[in-house]
Amino acid sequence: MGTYLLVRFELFWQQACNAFAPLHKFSFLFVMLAGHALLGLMAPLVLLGFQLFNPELGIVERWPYLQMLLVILFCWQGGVAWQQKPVAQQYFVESLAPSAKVASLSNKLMAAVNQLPFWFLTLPACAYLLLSGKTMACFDAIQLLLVLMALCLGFKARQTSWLALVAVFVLPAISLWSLPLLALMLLEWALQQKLHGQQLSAGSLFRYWLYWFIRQQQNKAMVLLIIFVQALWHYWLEQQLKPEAMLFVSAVFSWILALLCYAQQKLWQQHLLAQHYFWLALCTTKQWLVLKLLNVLPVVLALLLALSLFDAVSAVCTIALAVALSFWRQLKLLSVASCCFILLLVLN
Amino acid sequence: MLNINNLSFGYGKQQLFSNVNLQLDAGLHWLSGANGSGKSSLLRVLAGLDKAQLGSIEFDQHKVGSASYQKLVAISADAVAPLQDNTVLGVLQLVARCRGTAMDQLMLHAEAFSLGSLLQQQVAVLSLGQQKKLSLTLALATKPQLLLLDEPFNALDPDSLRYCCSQLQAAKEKGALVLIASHLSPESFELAVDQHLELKAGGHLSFSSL
Repeated sequence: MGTYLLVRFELFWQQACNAFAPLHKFSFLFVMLAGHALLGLMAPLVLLGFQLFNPELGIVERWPYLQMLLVILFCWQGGVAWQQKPVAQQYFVESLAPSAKVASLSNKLMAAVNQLPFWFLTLPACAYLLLSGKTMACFDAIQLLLVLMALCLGFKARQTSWLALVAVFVLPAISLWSLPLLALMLLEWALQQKLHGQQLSAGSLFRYWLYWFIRQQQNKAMVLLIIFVQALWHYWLEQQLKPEAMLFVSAVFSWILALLCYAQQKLWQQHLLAQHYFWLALCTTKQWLVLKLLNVLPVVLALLLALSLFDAVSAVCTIALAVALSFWRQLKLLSVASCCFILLLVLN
Repeated sequence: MLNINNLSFGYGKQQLFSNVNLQLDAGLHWLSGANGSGKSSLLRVLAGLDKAQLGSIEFDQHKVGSASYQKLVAISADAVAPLQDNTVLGVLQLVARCRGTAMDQLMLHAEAFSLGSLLQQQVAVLSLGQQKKLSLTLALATKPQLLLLDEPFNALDPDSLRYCCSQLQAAKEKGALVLIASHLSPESFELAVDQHLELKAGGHLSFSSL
């Protein structure tokens, strides 16, 4: 049993390392840039912590911070799905288990390990809210736990709910915010159960892509991340910063957004690559080109949002970067481009 | 040896088979049936990978899923795929660790299946036939008492096919129960099959003449 559990952990670790393997192809400078971007993200996150735990704030004031926390949670749920192995390989790993009980136990353990950062983020928030001594804060903590339980226990596929995502952004600041959220999550779950086995018709290439897009948990997580990054960017732009700092913040967030768009497109490209010959045999050259370009749609939407929220120069930079990253195959050349970009920033 | 009582299994609302009763002794057993009749699912349930909705499975008085049962069973099927992001050698070592099989034994079968030169290759880049050979190597090397094979002869070259048949014959002679699910006719292979079962829609099992 011990050997098997150790093997399962090693496989988990290997998979986690593989998930970040593409980053190894980027140059050291690019990693430095990512570090800067992370710093840009960390500051508002710390602020999120302070404000969320601030007992002086009422529910209406705390709602944007709760909103941010919920988005992070949903992103993580999508991220967990990312690490799941295909069914056939899962069967193989389970076939090596000494008994069915050990297989089941190890599956649960791995799910828990997968969820560790999730709990790391949420449990302190819940504890702090509970201990703050303010009725509304305790109320929020209980609701947060309720949503967490629904996410971790009620959804076997670790799904990120589209409807819940909408709810997070459109719900007014009401006291019982968890109830409509849970109701919508359950509604989506029920719809998925009903549609199980009845695949939507793939009558057109667009419908085929749409069906793929909606079904993939990673896509939901990616869209959430894009929205989240844009929200953080918006927050930073509203601060009273020096023009130099503004330029830096804009550059960092442009890059993050462009990279997220790139990752989003890569998912579709990987999907097409897995069925490369099938599509080549089935499609005309024009249809094949359309298939490759279809995934630009969410990027275009994200960038339209960016255009409406941020200044035109930043938005244009983001568009240019996203397009370059999406269609450029040579990652080394991208590293050179990033160096030039940093140089430009320093000179400014 | 193998006792299946009132076994029912399905996916969601789709019931694949219900109330299947079967007793099998050691030997080579051939299981055929139309697409979707539930052959592969039956093998996975017997391997303890899928759980039956109803019924019981015992092999030599050991209940399915128990440690003593899992020690005796091995499965080779397309639906049970070795980890694609590992090398062939890595997968062999993984099975050696988990099942307690000697590495020599695994290498013996791997060499016989011409996998010796592919040890450092990633499983994902292997051809269909090579992946089948790897899967068979893993199942045969553990010397199971209950060997479950789903379409084991698909995509195998003639030499590998002969080797596979000889190993199945040897397993039978050593007292193992080998259950082969296939669309093909057992007469096409150099195998002394003891029993031919046919699984029909709804889980009706009938015994065909050999």
